[in-house]
Amino acid sequence: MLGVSAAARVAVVVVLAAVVAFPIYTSFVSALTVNGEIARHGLLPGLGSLTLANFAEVSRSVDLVPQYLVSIAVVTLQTLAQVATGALAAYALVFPRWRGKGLAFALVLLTLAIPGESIVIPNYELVSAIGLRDTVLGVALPYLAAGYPIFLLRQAFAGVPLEIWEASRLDGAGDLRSLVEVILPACRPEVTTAVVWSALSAWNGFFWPLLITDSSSSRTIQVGISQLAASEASDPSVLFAGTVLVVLPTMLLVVLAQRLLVNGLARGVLH
Amino acid sequence: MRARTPLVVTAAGLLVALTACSSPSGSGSAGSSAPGPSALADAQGVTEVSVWHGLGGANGEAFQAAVDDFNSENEGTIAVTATYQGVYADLLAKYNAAIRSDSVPTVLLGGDIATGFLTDVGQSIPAADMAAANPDDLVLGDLAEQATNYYTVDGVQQAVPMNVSTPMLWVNRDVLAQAGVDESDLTTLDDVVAAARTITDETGIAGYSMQADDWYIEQLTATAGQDFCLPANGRGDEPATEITIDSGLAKENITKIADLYRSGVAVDGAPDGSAAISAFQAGKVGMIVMSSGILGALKSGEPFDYEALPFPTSGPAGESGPVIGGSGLWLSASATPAEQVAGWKFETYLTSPEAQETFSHATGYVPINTKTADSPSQKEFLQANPLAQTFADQLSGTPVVSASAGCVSGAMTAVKAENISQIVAAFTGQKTVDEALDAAAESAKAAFADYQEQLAG
Repeated sequence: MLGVSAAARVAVVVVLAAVVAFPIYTSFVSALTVNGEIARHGLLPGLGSLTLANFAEVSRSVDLVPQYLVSIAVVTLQTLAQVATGALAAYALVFPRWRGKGLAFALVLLTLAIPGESIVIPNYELVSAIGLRDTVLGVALPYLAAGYPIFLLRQAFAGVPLEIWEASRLDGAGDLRSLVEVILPACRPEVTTAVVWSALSAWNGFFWPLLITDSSSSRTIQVGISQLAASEASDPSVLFAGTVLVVLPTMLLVVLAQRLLVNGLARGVLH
Repeated sequence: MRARTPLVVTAAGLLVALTACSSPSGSGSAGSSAPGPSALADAQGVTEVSVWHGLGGANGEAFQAAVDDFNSENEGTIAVTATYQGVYADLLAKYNAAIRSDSVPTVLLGGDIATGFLTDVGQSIPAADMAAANPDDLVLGDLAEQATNYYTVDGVQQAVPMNVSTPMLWVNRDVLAQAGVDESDLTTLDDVVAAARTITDETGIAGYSMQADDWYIEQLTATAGQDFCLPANGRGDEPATEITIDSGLAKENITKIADLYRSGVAVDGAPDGSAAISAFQAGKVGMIVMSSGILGALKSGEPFDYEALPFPTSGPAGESGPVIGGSGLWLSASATPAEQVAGWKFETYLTSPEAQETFSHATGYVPINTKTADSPSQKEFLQANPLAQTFADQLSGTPVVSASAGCVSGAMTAVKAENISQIVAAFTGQKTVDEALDAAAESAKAAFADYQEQLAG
């Protein structure tokens, strides 16, 4: 019986992995072959038909290096800020006693229900008015704090026994020291999740960076790559090459973070 | 990238919502305040011109090359900075945001379906006014009437067509030969439908494919000699209030194409054209209906024997023909007079016979300056590239009538989005053609009414 259920579990995992991996695989193959190769020869192209021409075309159309750098700057800024503000807010929402804590948390939850698109125009007007249009800071500014990391970390902190926090306070640690040296290490998997979530959403941002930047050199790579999709007819293989270039860093991030995540889980809450 | 589609759709919705907030100023179809040549002559130093466009890929590279040429010709007086701002829908959403913060570019190269909206928001000087004030620059009469017809609203030419595409029937000659279909027999839609069935019956290869995009549904309507929207394709005194694809020849045509999909003769009717292009290149489909603009993509794949034929018609000759695609140049009414004249000089350059010749060779677009045809190098090019000749012939041969002008309305973006989902439902068999077209017509009515209400509010 045990064997059957283990086999079933493996089968489910294999199927799920295939569902996730298939589009990525076809993207890579399409990016490395000329148009129509998959339709003509199936999913296993011969080694001889592989080409880097599509990537060369991408680098001709798009300012790859500056836009990668802008993306990296935006991701770094947004992620650090979101995790920092998230951790501080979550700490305040869990440990110290103060009136209106429930209301404050409800307000944070409320921000999760507001569709991002509905605040794009007010943000645009504000960021333009303070002269930050077409800058990296302008791209990141509205997203320096986000509801989801606050929620995630608040739930994680709430699982830490209050006695641990009280003990650290009794030992003379201030709020900031308690947060950084006691609470955050106890919640490493959730902190990692928050980092990954913030980084991915910063990397994948499209509409806002498009709106708030005007020049090619201050654009993120996501916006830059969209230039490969000609409005009327595009070259599918070149599009796939662009997609691969954008997906690679996120795949690396998830793979690396996965190890931290698993490590954190395996090591237990405290160490 | 993954969150892209909903954002674009939302942006399109936002665009309609924003019209209510922008007050028409500076434009208007009569009584011009267009500046003349002295505005630029009196300007000190270099006049900066900002340009936003939605041309990606090879088209974008060719556009940038034209910008560079213009800048080197005008060094010391005019400097143009062109920036890609997303596909047409994104570009328009961005333009909308810019209206609200008074930061619109001097020149906007806006997609064709935005014509109604861009006219209504009144942020641009009509091209007709600029041409009248600057007689030494662009002569609008030199441009193909089929293209200027599209950008003419209430009898006034609002924008200058820059890149014009035209829909074609692309055929794979090897597949046609295998099925015993003669390409000279493919002139009407019925010919094409019958040929598609023959191809599948004789060879087992899919006979037909068409991107499930509203542009092609507009073509099936216009080539039937039918106005896409009523009254008068939105070009008269009254704004458009309804679409006509649920009636007449347009409905018959859509039904015929839907039958091809349902019987397995046609494949890959997805809203994204990439699948159809790839299938065509791989010889998996005999005929596809696609823009002339795909030529670049076809050239970059593995070579095979293909041909572009005129878009099949179903309506009476002289009253029916395809609608143009592409985009037009809109000149900002809020730029300084010197910038406006400099922008107009840029538009003059882009639509000049020479620039149009170079641009059309690098892309699949059709030269819209009729004088391009007189150039010896163009004649040579057309001889060596018969497909470009076919595109040009189709454009010049299209009768300048109401049906081929296409529908103009600020609600077109919303109408288009809903039509696409209904067409996909009809092609895949989720709905009957009747149900899908009725639903499309109902939502279009609501979209037109909403738009008018917001415009009035």
